[in-house]
Amino acid sequence: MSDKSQYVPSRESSSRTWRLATKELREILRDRRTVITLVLMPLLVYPLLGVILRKGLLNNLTHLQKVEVHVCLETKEDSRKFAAEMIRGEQILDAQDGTAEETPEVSAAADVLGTSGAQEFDFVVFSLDELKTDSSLEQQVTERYADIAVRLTPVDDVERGFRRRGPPFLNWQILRRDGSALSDRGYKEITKRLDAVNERYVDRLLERKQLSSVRPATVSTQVLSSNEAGSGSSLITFIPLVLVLMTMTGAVYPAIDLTAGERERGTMEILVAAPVSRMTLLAGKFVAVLTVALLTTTMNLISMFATLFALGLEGTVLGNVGPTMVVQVIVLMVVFAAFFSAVLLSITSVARSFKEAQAYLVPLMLISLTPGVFSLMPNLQINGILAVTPLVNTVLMGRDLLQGDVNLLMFAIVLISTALYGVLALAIAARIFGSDAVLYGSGGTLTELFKRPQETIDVASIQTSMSCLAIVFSLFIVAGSIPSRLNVSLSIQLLAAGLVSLFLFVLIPACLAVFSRVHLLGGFSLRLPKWWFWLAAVLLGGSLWPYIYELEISILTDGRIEELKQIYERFEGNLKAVPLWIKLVSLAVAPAACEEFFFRGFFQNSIRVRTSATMSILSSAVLFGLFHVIVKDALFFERLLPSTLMGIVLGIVFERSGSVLPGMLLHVMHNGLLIIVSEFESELTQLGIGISDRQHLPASVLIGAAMPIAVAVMLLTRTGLERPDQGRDDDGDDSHDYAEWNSES
Amino acid sequence: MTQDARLDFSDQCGSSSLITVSRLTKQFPLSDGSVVTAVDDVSFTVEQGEVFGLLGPNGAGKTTTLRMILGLLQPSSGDSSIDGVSVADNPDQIKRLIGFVSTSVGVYQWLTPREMLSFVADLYDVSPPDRAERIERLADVLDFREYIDRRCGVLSTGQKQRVNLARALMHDPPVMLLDEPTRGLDVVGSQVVFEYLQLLRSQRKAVIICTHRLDEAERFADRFGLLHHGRLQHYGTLVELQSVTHEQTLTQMFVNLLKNNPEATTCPGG
Repeated sequence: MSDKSQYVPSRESSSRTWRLATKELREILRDRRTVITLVLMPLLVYPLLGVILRKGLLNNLTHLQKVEVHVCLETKEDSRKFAAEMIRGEQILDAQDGTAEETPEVSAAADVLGTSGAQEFDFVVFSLDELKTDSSLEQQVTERYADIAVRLTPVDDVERGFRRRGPPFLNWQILRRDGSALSDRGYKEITKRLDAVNERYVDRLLERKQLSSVRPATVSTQVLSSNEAGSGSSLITFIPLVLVLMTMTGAVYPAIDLTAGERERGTMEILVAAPVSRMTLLAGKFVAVLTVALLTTTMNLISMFATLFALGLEGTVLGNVGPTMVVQVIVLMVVFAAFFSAVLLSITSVARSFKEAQAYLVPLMLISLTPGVFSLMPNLQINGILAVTPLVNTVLMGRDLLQGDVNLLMFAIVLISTALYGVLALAIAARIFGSDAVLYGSGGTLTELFKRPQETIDVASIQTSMSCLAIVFSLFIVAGSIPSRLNVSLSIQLLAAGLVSLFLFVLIPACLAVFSRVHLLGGFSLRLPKWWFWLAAVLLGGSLWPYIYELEISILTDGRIEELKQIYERFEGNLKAVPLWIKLVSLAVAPAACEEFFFRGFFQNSIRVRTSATMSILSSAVLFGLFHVIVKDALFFERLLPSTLMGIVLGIVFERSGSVLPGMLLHVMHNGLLIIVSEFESELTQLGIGISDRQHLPASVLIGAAMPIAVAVMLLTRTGLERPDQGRDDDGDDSHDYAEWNSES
Repeated sequence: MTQDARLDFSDQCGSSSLITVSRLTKQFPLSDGSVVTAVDDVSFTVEQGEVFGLLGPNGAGKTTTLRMILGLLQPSSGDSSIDGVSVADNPDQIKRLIGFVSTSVGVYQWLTPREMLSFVADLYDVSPPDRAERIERLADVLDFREYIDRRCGVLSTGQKQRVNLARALMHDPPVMLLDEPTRGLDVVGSQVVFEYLQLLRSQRKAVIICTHRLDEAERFADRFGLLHHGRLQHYGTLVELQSVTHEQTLTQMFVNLLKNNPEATTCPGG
């Protein structure tokens, strides 16, 4: 049973893990190849990219900003007149409003660089007599010497029907070339300016004759910028993807080096021959890979921002950077780096050599790139399913964070799901790393992974329970919203929700337990406790709710109470119509029993084997609390503390009784009582209990509830010594019966 | 492995042995569903201060046997124990009792021999003062002081092998397992291994050495086990083997063995 060989007391392994990691880091950082990806790449890549980007954009812009149009006239005198009219027209237009018409290209560039994209026209004017040529104006245009030609001919005053002083009016015959954008734009600009000059003349004339200058139809335009999120498909969407890719690149080399490389060099045998558990070895390697990945990310971030600042682009690319955003981005990147390091380790652990590892990683990189690029789609909104899709969730969340448009629920889901996938990947890596298959080559390693252990075990390994947690969490997010989407009556919806609980918290863990040959009764602590635990459970189940309720409303602010009232009012009317038994079954019995089955019976049970009682109670309770914060499509943070507290109580009852059953009873009673209280609210309001109004309970209720709690506490402590013997001890001597980290198959 | 079998065996071999291997069997399932038996019912013992040569052609099951003794592989049946500690019951303690030199001359390219030895000592929980003292002593005995602070990547194969041999002794184990320690080494390198074995003998360690170089083994080992197709065909001192097989050298014995038992039918002898 080489299972047992992997056991190392937990108190020792953390410092050992760190020592292992320092050795790995020392080795990695002495290697020039790492230093290149770590330091030189980001130091060179970003400034280069930045320079190219700026050069490209600015070049483009100067082109766009100065349009040079060659204009040909017949005589020098004509060109002088032309120039004079153009200047007048420009002045009038400038005076009217500063906003010149913008072409789409210019405004896109302006979006990125934050400059106004006013277009300047430069008329290069020349005349035929200057050129001393015999060619006509038409020839000048068709032969592309000029973009536009203008023939000015005086208009006979007699034709106009009145006489006036001053220079004669001119007829402008504009010759332009078909199919030339420059000619077209020049034409538009010239006519625009001439129109302005004419306009002004008519206005003046009307003014002088004391006539209203109002036209039958006046036009005013307002340009609206699009309000859609992500329409700024500017650089910001790329940053998360670049960061993610860089984190991946940073982690790849050390991950290969520390697993496949170790085997290629023949040093793996040194490690596996040593009396150190594979999990500890792997943990050391994981810490080292994660550190390098984070160093790479940091270097990339620093270089990226330094480049942006140096180019003066930080404002336009990033918008407002606040400390919260920075912290959020860092947390996201750390969690992602941890996840990806674990994934890499699990893959490279299969490989025998560098070459093989690289062969495995190339498809992985390609597979990761696809969703990464997919997530660049500007109108893609993060939702439940995308939030639990690895990699896509990080890139999308990164984008939202940088745009300052974060849904906290989604942020939490992304973090938790990514972290859980990381744990899952580590569990897989632990199973592969240094196993027989690894020492003898990669043949059959994947089947090894899915092979069932031959011997049954009493309690699920942490690996199994963590994998289970990852699966349950993802499905919890996805499946949790299914019942409310069903187009059926509320009663059926509620029952469906109950079924979902059964599926998530009972069926999945049970399937996994059967698969990994965990003894079902032992693995879920389904054993009969001593009678006084039942009593304690009943007492607590009946008397805890006022305190939990008080705790919850004491956290709530008035504003939040109003919000919640609104949320509940929508259901309230419908809920009244649902028979009490359905509410009890679907909201009390099913979730309570199923949650106990998973959180206490399975999860706490399995981590109790490796950690102290306090740790196992606390971690399962916090987890329990977190699951309760997420309700369909909203975060109920106020539920965190009460639920966690409830989780602690349930955890203690479980720890003391060694059985999941009293906790189930307690939980069912607790939920059931809350439902009954709200059902008979109208009757109870006379007693001062108004749940939906979030009133405080009368002191008498609280004092009354204190008595049974005290008795229950006494029952729990008094019988602590007589709890069923499960071979659980803190000294760790016999705990390696359960230490089943690799379950050699 | 049954309790009875173990009792049988200890009767047969006496209880003074440091290493007791009894009826070890390892089967690997193949992808086509069949089973290959890499090690088949192998039993032997090794005394303190004795060098036991586990000999056989490539693929005879030598390395697999060593791995099972070290606790890296779980035997399909049978057990081995060191100083009465069974590998099945206490694999971690077994690992502390064994120094392991494998075929591959594995060193950490970017660490110096001193750093590497110190790291290995840490893996075996050797206290820091002991660590420094042992490194100094081994540097003298195995003669690698000259390059003790150079990085391992630049060392020659022979130099790496010295570091590797020192590495296996860092936790001062009573038992040494050497798997093809001379592979890839020249005459001088092999001489180093030979001296190393003398050192181990002088320190009263129980040694199992695996090799397919039979001429070498004759010089190295006190007793031999001839492994073929996973079975221990002959077992004893050179003189004993000579009387059983009527051949003078191990090489001839092997040639006969290969000729007469292509399918390996003889029972383990001794």
